[in-house]
Amino acid sequence: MNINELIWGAVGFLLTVMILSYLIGDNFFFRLAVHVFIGLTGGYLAVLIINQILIPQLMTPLITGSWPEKAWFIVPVLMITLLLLSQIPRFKTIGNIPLAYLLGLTAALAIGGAVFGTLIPQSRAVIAAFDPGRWAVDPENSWFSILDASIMLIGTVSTLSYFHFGRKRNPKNDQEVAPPPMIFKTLSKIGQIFIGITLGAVFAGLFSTSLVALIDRIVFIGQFVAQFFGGG
Amino acid sequence: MTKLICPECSAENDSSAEHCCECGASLTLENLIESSKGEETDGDALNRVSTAETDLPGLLHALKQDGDVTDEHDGSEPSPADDASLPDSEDKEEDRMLPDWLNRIRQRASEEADSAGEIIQKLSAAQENLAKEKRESHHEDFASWIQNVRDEASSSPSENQPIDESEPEVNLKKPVETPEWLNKIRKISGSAHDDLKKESSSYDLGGDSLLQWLMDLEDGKETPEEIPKPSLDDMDYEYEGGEESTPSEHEFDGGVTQEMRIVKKVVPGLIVTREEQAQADQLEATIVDEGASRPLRKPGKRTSSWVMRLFFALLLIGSVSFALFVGDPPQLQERALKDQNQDLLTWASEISPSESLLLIFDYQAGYAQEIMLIATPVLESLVNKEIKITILSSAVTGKLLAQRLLSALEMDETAIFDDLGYFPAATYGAYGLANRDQGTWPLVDLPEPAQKLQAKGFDGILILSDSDESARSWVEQLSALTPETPINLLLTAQAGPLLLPYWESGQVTGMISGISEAAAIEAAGGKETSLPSRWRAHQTGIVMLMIVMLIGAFFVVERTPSDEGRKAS
Repeated sequence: MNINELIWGAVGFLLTVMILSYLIGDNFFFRLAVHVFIGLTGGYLAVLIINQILIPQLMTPLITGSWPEKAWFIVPVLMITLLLLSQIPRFKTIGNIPLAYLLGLTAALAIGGAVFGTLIPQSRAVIAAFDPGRWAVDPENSWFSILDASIMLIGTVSTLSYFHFGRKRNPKNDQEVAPPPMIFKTLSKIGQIFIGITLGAVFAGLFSTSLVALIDRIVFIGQFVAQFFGGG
Repeated sequence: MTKLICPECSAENDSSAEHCCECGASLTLENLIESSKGEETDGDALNRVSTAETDLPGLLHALKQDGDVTDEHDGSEPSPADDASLPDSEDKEEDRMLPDWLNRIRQRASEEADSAGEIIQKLSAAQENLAKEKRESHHEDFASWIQNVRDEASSSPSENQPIDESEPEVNLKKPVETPEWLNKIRKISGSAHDDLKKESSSYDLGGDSLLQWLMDLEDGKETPEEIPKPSLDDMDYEYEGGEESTPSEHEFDGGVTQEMRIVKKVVPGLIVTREEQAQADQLEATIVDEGASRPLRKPGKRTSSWVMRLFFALLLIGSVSFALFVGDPPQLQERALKDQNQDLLTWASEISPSESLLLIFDYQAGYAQEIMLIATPVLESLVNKEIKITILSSAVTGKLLAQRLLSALEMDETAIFDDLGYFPAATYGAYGLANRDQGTWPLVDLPEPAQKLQAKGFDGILILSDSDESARSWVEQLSALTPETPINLLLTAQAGPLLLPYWESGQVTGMISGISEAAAIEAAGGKETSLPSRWRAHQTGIVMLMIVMLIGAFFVVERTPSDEGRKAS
């Protein structure tokens, strides 16, 4: 182990122990490690944006590019200028222009992606599960395919029924004017089961990932201690 | 012998005379009263002093109204600066006694013009008006007036001598000239004044003179009457445009005088709308709620929770460490791969050396080890095919993590890498990547970095992600706009379940998520790595976590407030 590895290994070891000290509650060492992490992340992000975005994708083309290339940067430069000017209280409102542009663009992308990338393909997949042609591909497991498709359909419909909030409410007492139909009640109960299973799977995955991160830190500490004391 | 003085010609008349012996003017009581009303302005100061001993608050108000009183006692009067500081000091004392939260609310209300602050500002304005009234009428303050009189008395050579009735007339210089007829009366009929003094003294139960009475009062021998002070209740009174006097008549043995009744100065009413009143009520309710006592949690439970948490954490770390470092690495049991895993491995094996691949790094440093365990066998099979690999990062540390991951691979030096750099938002990057050749208008002469970003130029896309949201953004955009480009996912265990439907729908070609699937792939591949010991530790940790959860389910260590509320309901 050379001096460089020793120093950075010791820093990593200390920061790991400081983070793990949260087991005994919030304390100074934990907060110190968190502050170090936040400060490093902020500084690194600033340097990264300057080096990876502003200089290569904005400044360099503006300086060395042809006139058609430079013309492409009129809009982003204008947006940046408006955002910077909005920091002056007198010109605060003009900062809404680039923000509105970003917000509208983000909403459009999100909605377009959700509709054409999730809703339509997933709906199509549910429908396709009942395609007899697919069942015929594997005749031995055709009943399993039918069962799989049925469960998928029931899960989809019941989960959507659980989130059905379309009934009218009395504005005086905020209660539903009429009780929901029995079919909705039943499907809603079934939907809760599917939602519970889904959240359980997500929780198990979160547990598993967190445990792998903990194992990685334990391995690091073990290796550092072994190298420091045993030279291995 | 009391004599009447004709108000018309100032001639002396007998007390029983009904008409003046000189001019024949009527000397009836009504006529005298009318005459004295006409002389009210000029005789105002005398009237105040002569009647003041019968009404102490009236005396104080009368003296307060006489501005010359203060001018005559500069040495004893508080300076204007002192006057101004008087309410300020009271305010500071009041502020010190107020709780911190109320001071903060007032400070915030003075700085911000929100709805609650508007009410506070109005209340503050009303208080400032009151303070201003106090400053203007601080002479009404009995203590300061007493101090003036004491200083005046101490500066007088005849301090302990009985003070003549005329002394206040000397000390209290009147702004208006005494009428001539009054001086004549004083010169001629001194006996009448003596009688009046006797009457006044008998009427005044306080002592020999006003000053003596006040001295006794200061020494505690007398109990002063309270002077009414303006309060918030006064704001309900009708505004009368300041003070005014309503004369009422008293007759003292032939002499006629007037009693000054001082009307309280009325503060302008505070007009509060119903909405403001509702907001004020809400603010008051908030203030009351903040000051309300709340049950404190017992520290004993907190200590036991801390000990239990530490115990179970050390138990988990100890068991995981034991599984990691004790014994030889276990042999992974070979098991059937999942379909999505097999699909990805198939795609990776079928890609030809002439094709190009885009690697998207979209995970944080904390999950680097899990991604490394998952991606290593796949990437090692790709980089050694001499395919062109382009790297793009949508995470802050993605570029560093890419370098770390690629440097850990066993690969030939012939591998070609092209780094597109960092894209801050996955959605924008994905849309830009997928929509480059789909636009209605042909985009020509793009800058060089933008020209590199063309989805159609890639034969496959491999996304390494720890988040289902950002990975879904990539999949949604790319699968919708470039469905012919195969998309593959290498995910952490927490992101895998939510992205599995995209593989089932055919939008994603293949995927691997979590250390368990990585262990299965390594077992199938037969290559020896550090994964077996970690997999054993992972299994141990899962078992320990399940035990801890079961213990926690049966023995609740610490009840949260929501638990208490649920139990109460």
